Amino acid sequence: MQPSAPFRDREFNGTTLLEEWAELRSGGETPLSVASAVLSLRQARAPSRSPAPDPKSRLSQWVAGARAGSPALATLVARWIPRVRSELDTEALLAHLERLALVGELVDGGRRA
Amino acid sequence: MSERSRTEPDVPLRRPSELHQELLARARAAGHGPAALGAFAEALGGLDEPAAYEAVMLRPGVAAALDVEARLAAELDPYTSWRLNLGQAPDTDALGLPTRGSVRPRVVVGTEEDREVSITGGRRLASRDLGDSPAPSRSHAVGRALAEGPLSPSGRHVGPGAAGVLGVRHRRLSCGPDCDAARLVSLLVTALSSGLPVAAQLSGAGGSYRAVFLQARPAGRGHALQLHVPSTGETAWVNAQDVRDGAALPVAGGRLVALSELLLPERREGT
Repeated sequence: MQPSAPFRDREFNGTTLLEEWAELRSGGETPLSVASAVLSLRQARAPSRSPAPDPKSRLSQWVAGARAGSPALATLVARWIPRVRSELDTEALLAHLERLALVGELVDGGRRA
Repeated sequence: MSERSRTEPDVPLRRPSELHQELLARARAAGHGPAALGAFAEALGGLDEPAAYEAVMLRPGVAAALDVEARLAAELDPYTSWRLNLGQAPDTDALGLPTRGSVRPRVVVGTEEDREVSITGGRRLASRDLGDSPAPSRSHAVGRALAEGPLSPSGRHVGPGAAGVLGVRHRRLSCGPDCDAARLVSLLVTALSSGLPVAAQLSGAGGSYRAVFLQARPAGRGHALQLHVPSTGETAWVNAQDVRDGAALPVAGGRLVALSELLLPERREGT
C-alpha cells in the first residue's frame, strides 16, 4: 500500500514544500506554530478524539477550528484535503507538515547564516 | 485617531525590537485586551531580547502541568505563557503583571543529547556538549548549532523550537580534511530517509554556505539528494556519491565541493 499519487510526487517534500513554507511565513506562521499544529492535528486525527467518521472529515474539522488562529496553515491544509483518499494519505500529509516545520526552522537559520 | 489607537495603548517599549513587536502582535492576535497588552508591553520593555524570549517560553515544569490543548494554546500566546511561568492564572487582565526588570524566568535550553562530534577516518575523535563551546552562553552555542531553538528575529536561538516540540534533537558532526565522508553521507541518507531534513555546511572555492538537504530518493545503486541553499535560493538534486567524493555540486556556481559539517537530526525515543 502506498499513499495516493499527489503524496508520492517527487517534489511533494521538495520544491512544493519550499514554496509552501514561503507562503506560510508570509502568512505569519512560524516553524513553532506549524510544529504545534502538527501535534494538534495528530490529536484530532485519533478517531477516539473526534466524532468525524473519516480522515478527510477530521482534517476538515481541524481546519475549521484553525482558521482564526492560523489562517495560512488552515488554508494550506484545506488545499490538500480534496486529495486525501486514505489514512496513508493523511499520514503522508502530517509527515509533510512536520517537514515544513523542520525545514522552516533550518531554512530561516540558513538565510541568516 | 485610528480605531486601533482608540482601543489599545501605545506600546511603551524602551528598546523596541522585532522580537518585542512580534510577542505583542501574538498576544494581540490571541485576543487580549488593552490593559493586558499595555502591562505586557511595559514588562517586556524592561527586558532585553534573550530575557524577553525566555520569559515567554513555557518553563518545562509549567508545561508538564498542562494538558496538551492548554500547552499548545500557551505556546502560541506569549502573554498566557508569561503569566503561567509566573504562576498566575491565564487570561485574567486584572492581575498585575511584574514591573519592568523584575522578571528573569529561567529556561533550560538544550539537552544533554546535544553534542558536537568530529569524524575523522571513521572514528569519533571528539564528542562534546555544545554548551562547552566558548560562545558567550549555552543558549547562544546551541542556537548557532540550530540544535534546539527557534530563531528570534535577531537570529538568536533560545528555548525549545519546532524540532524540540516534534521530539527531534540534533548532533553537530564536523568533517575535517581526512574525514570519513562515506560515513557522513551514509548518516545523511539515513536521516533523510526517515523523513528528517538535515542542515549542512558546504565549502569550496566559493566560500562556505549553509544548506539544507530536503530529501533522499533511491537512484540507481545509490541515492539522489535534494539540496537547498537558502542564501541563494537554489534547489538542486545531487548524487549522494558526488557529495561523498567531493565533486562540484550544481549550486553556488559549482564551486562547492566539501561537506564540512552536518547537523544530524534524531528522533527522541517515544516520538
